[in-house]
Amino acid sequence: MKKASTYLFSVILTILLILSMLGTIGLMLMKFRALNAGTCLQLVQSQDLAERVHQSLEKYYQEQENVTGIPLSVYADSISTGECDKLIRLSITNAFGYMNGTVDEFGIKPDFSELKADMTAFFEDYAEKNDFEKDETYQKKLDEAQLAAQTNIKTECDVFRFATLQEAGLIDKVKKVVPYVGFGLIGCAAADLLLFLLLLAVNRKEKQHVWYWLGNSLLVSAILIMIPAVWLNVTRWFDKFAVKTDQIFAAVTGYLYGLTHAAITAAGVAILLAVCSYILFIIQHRMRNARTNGR
Amino acid sequence: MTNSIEELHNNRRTQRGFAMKRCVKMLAAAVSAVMLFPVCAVPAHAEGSIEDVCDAIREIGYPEECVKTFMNEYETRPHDENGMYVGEDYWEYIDLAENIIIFRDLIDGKLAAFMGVSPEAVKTADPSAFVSLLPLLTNAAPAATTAPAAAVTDENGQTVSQTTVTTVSGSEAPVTTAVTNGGTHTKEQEAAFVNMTLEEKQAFISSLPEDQRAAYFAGLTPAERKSLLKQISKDAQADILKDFVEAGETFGMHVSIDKIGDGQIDFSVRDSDGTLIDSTSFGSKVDDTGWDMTLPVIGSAGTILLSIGGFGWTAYRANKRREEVLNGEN
Amino acid sequence: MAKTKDTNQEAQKRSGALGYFLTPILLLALCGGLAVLCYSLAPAHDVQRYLNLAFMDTLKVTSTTSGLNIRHRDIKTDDQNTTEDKPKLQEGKINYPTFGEQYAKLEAKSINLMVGVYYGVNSELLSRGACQSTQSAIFGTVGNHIIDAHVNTFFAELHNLAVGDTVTMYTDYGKFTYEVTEKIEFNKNDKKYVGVTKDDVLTLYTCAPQVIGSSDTRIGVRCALKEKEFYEPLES
Repeated sequence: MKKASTYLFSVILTILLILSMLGTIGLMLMKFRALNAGTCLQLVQSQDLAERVHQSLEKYYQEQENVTGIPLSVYADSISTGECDKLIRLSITNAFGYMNGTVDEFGIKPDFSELKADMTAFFEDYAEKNDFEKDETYQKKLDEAQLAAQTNIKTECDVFRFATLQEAGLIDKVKKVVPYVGFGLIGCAAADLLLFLLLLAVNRKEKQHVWYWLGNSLLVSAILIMIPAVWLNVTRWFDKFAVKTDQIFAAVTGYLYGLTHAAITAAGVAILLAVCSYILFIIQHRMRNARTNGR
Repeated sequence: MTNSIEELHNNRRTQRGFAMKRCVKMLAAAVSAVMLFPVCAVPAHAEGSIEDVCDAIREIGYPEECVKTFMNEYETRPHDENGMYVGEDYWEYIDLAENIIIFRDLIDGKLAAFMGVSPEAVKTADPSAFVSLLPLLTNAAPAATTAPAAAVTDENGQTVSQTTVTTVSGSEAPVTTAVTNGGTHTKEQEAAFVNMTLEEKQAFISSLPEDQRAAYFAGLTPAERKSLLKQISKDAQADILKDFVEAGETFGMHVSIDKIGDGQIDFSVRDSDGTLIDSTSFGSKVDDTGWDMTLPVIGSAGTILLSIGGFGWTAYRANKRREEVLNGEN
Repeated sequence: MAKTKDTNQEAQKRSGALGYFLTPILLLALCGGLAVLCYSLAPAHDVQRYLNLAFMDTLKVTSTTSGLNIRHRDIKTDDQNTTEDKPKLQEGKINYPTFGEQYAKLEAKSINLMVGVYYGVNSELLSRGACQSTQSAIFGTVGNHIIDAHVNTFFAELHNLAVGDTVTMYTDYGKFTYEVTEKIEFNKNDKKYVGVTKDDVLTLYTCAPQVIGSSDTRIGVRCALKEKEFYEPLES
């Protein structure tokens, strides 16, 4: 670091390398964590979302019994834990499939034939017992009740609120960006390599300094990622969006905090690499000084 | 198959909520609608009733929506034919009404005092003593006839309310101002007063004969009071608002002034349970809907500049050290 | 002289070490400053906006304003309507809101906007969605309906609304469709667009974007009523 021009060029290249590394780490998190359906599917299991949704639906239809007159037993099979689990996973895979371009249409079309059959049977039984004519009005009421039940169950099972995000336009925005994430990641990684080689070229007379500048890049990028991630975790920032609905709270906060944990882990790895880089620099620097003094 | 419980809940909320919502929407008009009564109004009803309290609330200038809100609150509070509970205190209706009216006189007196008119004179002035010269000055002078309606008096013979109708005959369309305290301000007079700056208002009041100054204040219209309230000093505003707030406390409305800015007074109103009923301001309000990023922008720009400076200094030191080493070797 | 040379070398070593320690700190300061600057200058802060939008119906009432009760109504938009035959009445029952209640949803498809509208304006409600002034008319009544929101979040794209675009208000008692008739710009001290009107108009406004400080200029649109549908008749 004895020449000013070398120093300044190295600083500029290091700043670019920091930005490039931030891009690399960010895109890696996005590709392998945020945009990965597996992240959400894992949460279904770890947060026991299916059971929470089932209990919520059960409670709802129990309360509705006095109002609508339809007993819980009509819905029981359609809102079992297994069915809820199926629907939750379906909504997740559909949303991520749509974002990743593997699915053409957003929105799930689950098979509610069993629910329809149960409700039809109940309505028919009720109509027969009370001598209701099965006219157009009857059919209309049945259709409305079935549609309302299907919509309600679908909404409850959409624990990550993909439908609302789609309505707000976010899903389509993400869909536009997703194809470029892979290319972006490759581009950033290539930029990292290129900038490293340029640093090597600039510091060719004192090659040990390359490790110093690489350590700086890794350390600064790691700190820039770690500080906000740690802050979000420590202040429990996402709890601000704590929701009344138990399963949504579990799903959303689980997902978001999972992302921050992944960011902290990535930053930790970068710090370790930075430390290794600094050690290499110190060793080589001392060896070089020893050789120079020895002469 | 409708959700009847939801509907019932919504209906109740509709009744209470709308009344609450409107009650301070026009607090500007409410404060300025404070009437300069020569005497404290005494309930018109013989033995005092909730209606007397409502009348007193209207007297002091709260809009009708506030009265409705108060009536809603009244239904939820313990009460009997003689009185009601406000908070934990039991008030007879007559006493409660009188207590509210005291604040009105306080407010009126302060407004008049600010304009250099004796509050005592306003208390005893006859509003009809002032006769507006407008539009007689600006147009061909049509004949003006003033016909006070029958005054409503209470059992003590004191005037509670009085309506005066002024009609201007002639080629002009009738200019009618009906004010509830016997004022004789025509619409042109009112408009002229409202459009005056504070200095012009003070000059105008000073230009009136002594006996008509107090009479003018005794006959102020709501619009005139509103314009005056907006123009008086902040200290005077705060002082008057304090009384207004205290008046609200007497019948269970908790008003808090949030901010007194240029031409705007922000306030909040809460009911007896502390539920926020409204948060608004006197007059129309344009909200601040942008984040102020001054600090982050300046802070980050400063940090960037400092670090660039730091790099420059480090590079300079490196160069200097290199020269010293080279010179040392030479 | 040898001693002076050694001292000089020692000093140079120390100052060299200072440079080695100072450089990463300066790099952190520079890059951190850049990151904060980029965040501050960003035209829209979408994370909070989308989080609010996605979970506004189910948010826990954790209000920091004393006495503020934040509530949400179940409002269905066209996409969510399960019953096809809702009666289209020109007059109907209005379910009046209370302060802090999210009682409507605003949709402007041309700018991909869907946001909840709270009745009443304060900083807390503005952070959750768009807010309707309590000094304005309730939807369903005739007058000036005034809605504002933060330019950094919900109304970031408001300036892209063009004359002729449709703005739809969904409530649980009716649906009201407006058409943009003019784009407006005014100073915050100019109350021209926030006063009472005789006609049924919708006024949407927000702050003009400004980097430093808070802008005194407001931008927005004025819309005229095109269509209204009430769901329940007055008599019920």
